[in-house]
Amino acid sequence: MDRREVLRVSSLILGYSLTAGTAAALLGGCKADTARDWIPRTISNKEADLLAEICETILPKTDTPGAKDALCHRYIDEMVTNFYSDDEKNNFKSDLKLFDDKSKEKHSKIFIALNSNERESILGILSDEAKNSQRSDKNKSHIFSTIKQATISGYFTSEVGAKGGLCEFLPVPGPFKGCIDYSTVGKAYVL
Amino acid sequence: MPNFIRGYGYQGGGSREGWGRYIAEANYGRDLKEALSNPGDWGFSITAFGECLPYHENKISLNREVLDIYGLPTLIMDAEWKTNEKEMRKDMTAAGAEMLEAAGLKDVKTFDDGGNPGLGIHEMGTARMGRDPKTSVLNKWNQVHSLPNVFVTDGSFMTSASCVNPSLTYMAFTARAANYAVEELKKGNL
Repeated sequence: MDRREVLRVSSLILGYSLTAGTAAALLGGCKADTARDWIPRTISNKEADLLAEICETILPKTDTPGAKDALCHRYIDEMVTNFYSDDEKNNFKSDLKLFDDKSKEKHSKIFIALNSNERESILGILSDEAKNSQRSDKNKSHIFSTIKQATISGYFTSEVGAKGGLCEFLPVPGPFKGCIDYSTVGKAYVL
Repeated sequence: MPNFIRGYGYQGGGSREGWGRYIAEANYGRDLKEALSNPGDWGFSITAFGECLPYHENKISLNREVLDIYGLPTLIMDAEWKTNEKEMRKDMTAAGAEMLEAAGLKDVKTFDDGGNPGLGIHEMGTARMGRDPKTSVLNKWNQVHSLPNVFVTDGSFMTSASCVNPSLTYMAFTARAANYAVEELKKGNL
């Protein structure tokens, strides 16, 4: 990553660069709709099912909650709805097809019909693609990168993700202690 | 001796990388979650803030050729860094690195991102304070020279954008201007 870009953004928000839509969503307080009868606003129901499985493959449920528990796919639909231009929305929807295209090519099935190993292999192919495309065109975000950064930011900014045990949630970090035993720090870090 | 006038300051600190550090990486799945469950490496950075001298040529004006959706004129912002600011930036960069290295930090890298006027967020200037109505808009009480019943107490009275946070100074000048306005009202001068 471009060091200058990292430093610039780090002084602004979080310490890493995000695409404009994701950063806007994060700063704009984007959050997933937790309603029982949720219906996606920009993507179709089918696309939402696919997206949920992609997110879950990126952050699977282990002894801590997964991306589906944190409703990352809903977060992403919300993000795309509110923070993407019409062109970006269309691109997002058409790029999403890549996951099924690759799955059919490799396993003759759509992505959600694959087992978890096969799903991971598809993500492997697409993450390599994302790496290469980042090198060739810094201004365009590959669909894998878009979904990954939105999954991670959606996860850690959700209550389930923040309190699920992956990190220690400290809404207010508390007093400043200048000298403490390092072993007492644990994995506490805050957004 | 530095070849610029006025001064600058630094702001910064250290922190550990959070969950954002793996966003650009290609990993995913259990490995990613495992990695994310621990805080990342330490980093430390400082950023310098310097004063921009009060150049008359740095100005804003109304563009009556291009109107906004309400039919009002739009703004032309015409400002640049000049030699003093550019020389100051070199000194900020070198002195910052020198301090960090003297403090024992390793792998110190410097950068200068240009920092266009306006990115300091605290808007200052354009209705500058001064004694001469020919060269300034406000008198020493934040009062418009030609319109005694108008006081301007935001950052526009400042002649230069200094290197420190100006908000408390705005507040102090506002209190001072309001006090003056009330006293002048009582005297029947306003």
